[in-house]
Amino acid sequence: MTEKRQSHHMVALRVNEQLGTKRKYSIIHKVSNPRILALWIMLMLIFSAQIYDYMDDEYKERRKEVLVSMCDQRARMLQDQFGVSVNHVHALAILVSTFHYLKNPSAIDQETFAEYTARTAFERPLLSGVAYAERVVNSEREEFEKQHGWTIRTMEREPSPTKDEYAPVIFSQETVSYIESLDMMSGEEDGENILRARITGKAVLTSPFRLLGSHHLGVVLTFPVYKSNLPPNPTVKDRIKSTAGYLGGAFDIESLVENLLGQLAGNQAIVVTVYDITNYSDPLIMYGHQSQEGDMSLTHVSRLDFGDPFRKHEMMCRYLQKAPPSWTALTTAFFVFVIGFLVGYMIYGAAIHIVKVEDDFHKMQKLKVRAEAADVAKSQFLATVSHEIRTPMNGILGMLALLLDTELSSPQRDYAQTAQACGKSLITLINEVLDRAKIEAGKLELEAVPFDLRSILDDVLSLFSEKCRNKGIELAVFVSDKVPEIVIGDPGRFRQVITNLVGNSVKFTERGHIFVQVHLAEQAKAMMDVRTEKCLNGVSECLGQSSGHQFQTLSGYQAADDRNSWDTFKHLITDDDFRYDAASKAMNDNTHQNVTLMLCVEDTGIGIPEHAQKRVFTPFMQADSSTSRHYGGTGIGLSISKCLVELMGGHINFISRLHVGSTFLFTVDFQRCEKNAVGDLKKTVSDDLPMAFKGLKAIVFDGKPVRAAVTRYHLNRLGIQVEAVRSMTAISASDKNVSLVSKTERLPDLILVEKDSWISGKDDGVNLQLSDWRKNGHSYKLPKMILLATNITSSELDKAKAADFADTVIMKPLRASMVAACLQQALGMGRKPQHNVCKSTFLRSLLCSKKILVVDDNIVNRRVAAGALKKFGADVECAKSGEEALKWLELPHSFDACFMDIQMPEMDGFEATRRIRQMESIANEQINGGCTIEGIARNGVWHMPILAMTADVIHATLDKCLKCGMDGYVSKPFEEENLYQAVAKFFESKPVSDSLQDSQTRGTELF
Amino acid sequence: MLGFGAERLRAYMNRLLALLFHQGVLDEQFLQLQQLQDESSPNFVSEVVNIYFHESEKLLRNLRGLLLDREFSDFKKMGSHLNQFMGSSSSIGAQRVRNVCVAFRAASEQSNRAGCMRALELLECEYCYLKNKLHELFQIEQQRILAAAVRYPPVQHPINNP
Repeated sequence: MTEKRQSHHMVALRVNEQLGTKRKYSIIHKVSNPRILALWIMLMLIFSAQIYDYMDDEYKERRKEVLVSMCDQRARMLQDQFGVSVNHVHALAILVSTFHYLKNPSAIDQETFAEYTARTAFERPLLSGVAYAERVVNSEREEFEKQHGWTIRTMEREPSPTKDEYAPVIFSQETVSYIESLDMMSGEEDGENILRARITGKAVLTSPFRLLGSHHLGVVLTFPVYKSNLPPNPTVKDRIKSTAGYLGGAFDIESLVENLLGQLAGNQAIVVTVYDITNYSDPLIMYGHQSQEGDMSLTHVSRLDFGDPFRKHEMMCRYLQKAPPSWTALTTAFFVFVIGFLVGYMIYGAAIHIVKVEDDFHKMQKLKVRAEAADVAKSQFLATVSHEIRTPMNGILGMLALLLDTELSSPQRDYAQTAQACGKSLITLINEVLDRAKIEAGKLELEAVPFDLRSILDDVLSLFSEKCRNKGIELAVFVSDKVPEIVIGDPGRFRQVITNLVGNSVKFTERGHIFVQVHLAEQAKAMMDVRTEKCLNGVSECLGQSSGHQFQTLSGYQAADDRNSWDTFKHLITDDDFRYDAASKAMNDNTHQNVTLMLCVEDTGIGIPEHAQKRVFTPFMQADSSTSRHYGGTGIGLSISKCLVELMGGHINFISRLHVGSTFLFTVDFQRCEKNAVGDLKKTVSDDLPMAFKGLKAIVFDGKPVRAAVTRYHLNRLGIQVEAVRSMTAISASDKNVSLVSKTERLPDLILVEKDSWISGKDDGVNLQLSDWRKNGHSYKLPKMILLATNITSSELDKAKAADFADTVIMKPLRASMVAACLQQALGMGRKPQHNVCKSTFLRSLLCSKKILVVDDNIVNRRVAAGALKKFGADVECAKSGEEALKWLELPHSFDACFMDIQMPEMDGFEATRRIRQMESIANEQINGGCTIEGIARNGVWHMPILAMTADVIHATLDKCLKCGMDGYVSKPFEEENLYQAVAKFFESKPVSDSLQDSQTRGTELF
Repeated sequence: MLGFGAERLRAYMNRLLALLFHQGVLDEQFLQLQQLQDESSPNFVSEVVNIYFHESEKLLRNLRGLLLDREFSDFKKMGSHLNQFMGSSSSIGAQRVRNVCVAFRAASEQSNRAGCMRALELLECEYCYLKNKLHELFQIEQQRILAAAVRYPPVQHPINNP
């Protein structure tokens, strides 16, 4: 429980760590987002305000320009019209002077003048009327009054007081007829005007004042009319003197300007004011109001020149209405702001979204980590619990076993047996669950140890051989030659996968075969590809092949994977020498390379229905529920196999057809073993196959090439050359023709016949053959006849014995070691166990009651060595160091031999041996040939056999041993054979049988 | 039907042994060792193995002590310890322990202290596993003998072990 909590804690820690690291990369900080948005909005506000300002300025500028141009235009027009009027008045003045003074009598009278002026009034649009006033000196007043019949009156329409001179109006336009007889000089403005006009001789203007008739504001224009005798460059006096009268016109500026402006009125109303600024400090309004109406902010002043240099005028314009706000600027600015705001808001929204998504992501990640942790915890829990369950289960099973041993009544026994069976299946299940949990928890670690693949496959086969034999299924294994003998990987797990697959196959197969193949993946793949292509190209060929009643498979039953039949297989085992070259080259390039193996377990069982194929690798899923009822099992095996295969760097899949069979294919990665190491390892890793069969020749009769290839593979492993023949008639026919059996040719040592081929009744050929050979004088060594059978009835067996298969029947499935044992028996070589028995008895006879000293610093080794020697009856003393050994061996001593460890601290084996030999030579010299003491003193010389014990069996060590005076060595740890070989040299006193001698020499050779 | 339990136990023992063999924990040498056990030395295997445990624990302690020493440099001494360990392991057939020893020795020859540390941990682990398994094995064997004794009440050498 604490462990659990701890692990949970750890997981939590990990979660935190992960989250800690993940948090960092979040660019957008959640908190600052609204601030950034506000800032952005402010920015946009300022920006749009600036845009508004800019546009507004432009608008004002344009407005001002418009005002300027309008003002100037009005001023110019007013001036022009004024000028035209002045010119006309000038012309009138000339008319008056011409027709009134130069003509005598005067051609003009009031009537004429009035008519003329009325008819030419259009020429003077600005003048309300014109009038002519004659200059009358006081002396001439009475005469003048008499002539005209009225008295001169002042402006106030009273008879004029006496003055120096007068200027009574004599002619007047009808519009101003009311001023006739009025003295112009009496008016302040007019008088002044008259004086100025006659001095300058030009048109002069009054300052604005209220006109008499209309009471409109106006100015009076006055022209002097001179008598004709004016000198060319007149002085002021001359001008006054010659002045005849004055022509005046009243400009009703107010109405006239209004009229003018009415003509020009555009879309924009402007306020126009005309000033007389002769006296600059006090401008007089000529037109317009002094009031502050209109837009005072913007005014324009234009100069007016009405032709009177004394008087100065100007026109001031301004808009009547205040400048309306600039709508374009306003809307533009507004839209810019809105767009900016929207953009900002969108970015803000996106940021918020990102933050949200990120948050969600973190949350999910947290959840994921938690889920993973939970998964791991689950697996750990499973592993722990399974383990905890297993322990008591073992107890239960053990107790049940004990219970079954006691005396029970038969129902009791039945119950107990049922309980035991259930318990066993439960523990298998638990083991499997544990395996799976371990794999899932990642606790399962693969080993990397060298192992012999072939022997493992043989082992698996032997596991199922009994079952298969009972069911009558053929079970075979074939390993390609290209697969290295020793590979590095996890043999246990590999074996588990194979066992599971083969076990499944055995479970679900009632007839036919189960065939395990191992090839190099690349090789197999290439061949499969070729084959598939062929199949695709020539469908008919494939169909033709599979429609035949006998399939070219191991047993002749159809297999699920059509590609896997003999056609492919043939290629795999024969036709790829070039490929092999390439492969071996690659192998040389990199000796410690990975090797990928392709394994294939083919059966002809019930197959997997299509709808179930998808979930075959799912734990606890079987093809359907009825399957488990029929065949038992939990369905976890395949999922474990899949996990294991994937752990081993491969993948697994299968092809299955209902009622035809299934073929499971999987690949695994192993490492190649280094070349030089193979030799050493082979000894330890693989069960040694006897090499006695090397060079033998065998003929295999088998109608089925695949099966023949399997047989050949096993025999090849034993070093036997194999020739496979399809049928016996074929070989006997060929034998007769070809000189296969000529006297010089060596006969085959073995003839292996498949039972099927034999049963089919073509055995006459073989018999013929044998008799043939006998006749030809081969009788001294006839080939041994061996029958291969999957299952055989006793009657068949008898029959076989009656026929020439007296020698041996080998029961399938074939395994190299089993074949070897059978062959040994058949060939009369004697089997290994016998061998061993012989040897150990012989050893016993050799070592019995011999006194032997074992020197080793390692107590365990010492104990083992002593035990081994004691077993053979030797009397053993032990020494734990070189020094102690020397003490024991001080002459004279009674030891017959000494086993000396080489590697010892302080004094090693070599040194100790040297000392012993030294002692011996001294003693020998002293004795000088005399043999006084009993012991192993050959020829009267002390020489005790010293055998080195060493773990490394290199030749250099051996040489060194011999050099320093040892007599031989045994490898450590003790092996009987080895011990026997070493010891046999020295204790030859007792008789040795021939066979043993033989085997000994052979053993030595092998070594 | 008699002797069924003993047979069961024997089968179980064989399974355990087979497992150990497949795992590579033990090798043939262990079988050799078992063969050395006979009537004259009925407890030979367990005796040897117990010596082995005793020695190995001493060696492991020493190795750990050496490695934990701060100014440690005596790889030679460690090598000799390892040789001992290796020798005894191969004598009883403890293959995996021996293999780890080989690796350990290689590391110590290269004066690779970290490698030594790792190897030592692995070694302790392997050793523990081996020890547990062998204990289990001996326990079963005892049970087997017990069962055998139950089977034949009139035994010549009665075993007093309850």
